[in-house]
Amino acid sequence: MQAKRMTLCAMLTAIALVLSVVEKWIPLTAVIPIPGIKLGLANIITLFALKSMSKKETAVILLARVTMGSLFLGSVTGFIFGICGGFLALGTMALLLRRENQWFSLYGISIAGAAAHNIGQIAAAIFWLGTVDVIGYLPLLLIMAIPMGFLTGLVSTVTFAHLQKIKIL
Amino acid sequence: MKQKNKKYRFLAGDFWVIALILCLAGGITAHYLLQPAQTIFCEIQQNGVVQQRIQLADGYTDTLTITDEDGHSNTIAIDGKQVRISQANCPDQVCVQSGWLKYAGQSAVCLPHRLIVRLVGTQQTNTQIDAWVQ
Repeated sequence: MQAKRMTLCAMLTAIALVLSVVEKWIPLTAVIPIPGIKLGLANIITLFALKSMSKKETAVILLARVTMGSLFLGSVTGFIFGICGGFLALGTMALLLRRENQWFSLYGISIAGAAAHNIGQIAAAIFWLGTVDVIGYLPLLLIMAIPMGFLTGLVSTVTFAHLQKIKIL
Repeated sequence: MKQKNKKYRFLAGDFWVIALILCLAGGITAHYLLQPAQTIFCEIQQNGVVQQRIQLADGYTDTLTITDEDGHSNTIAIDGKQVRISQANCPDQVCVQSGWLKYAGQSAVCLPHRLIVRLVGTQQTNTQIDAWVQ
């Protein structure tokens, strides 16, 4: 059981890393020139882990993903931003998941996660740059979080519907 | 079949989440970006310190390069009342892609170089009450 869970954690980390790489190929910043804008595909993994595993395991997956992700394709800045955004998204989604199917569907949860990720990134940028002026980027990022979060929510919904047929854990 | 369709549906809380995000976005926009101003200044900040403050006017053009001791360089072009980062030796080029800044409150950020080019209006005090209606 222990080994199986560990393998699943490693697998999810690997999938999340692949998703971050694939995400980089999509030239989103050329269309919407905002620093830090992305589809947030790796958020699907966080949501999946939160739903099927414990919060602790999810946090470990997130930490491993962000650390390795910034080593492979990012920088120190990428690490700080990913950690701040990632953990705020994790916390928000974990909170909303308590009322899943009562108040919120996976769409709302992943939209909230995407928005929380952006807020975390901007908070990191405020500390990194030493001014609150970066907050001017937040409105556009937040508005973009709605379609992006919807997209990842849709993917999660479809994935869960299929995975319920297989015994993964 | 009925059960399957239920999974793809929005719930009431989802709309509240979206409404909250839109309110937050609108609130920040109203507070930071919509500042009516006659005179606009271009403010260049590096590491949180204002390096230069230039008043913009029609017909005024200028190009300036900000370089720091680590060799980070950004070229800022001013054309009348609009400003952009025209060149930078940063890896992501997001600041260059940000394009022209035209309104007070807009900014172009270069995260790797910790540089912000920002347009600021004359009316900076948001705390003052403009009018009182009873």
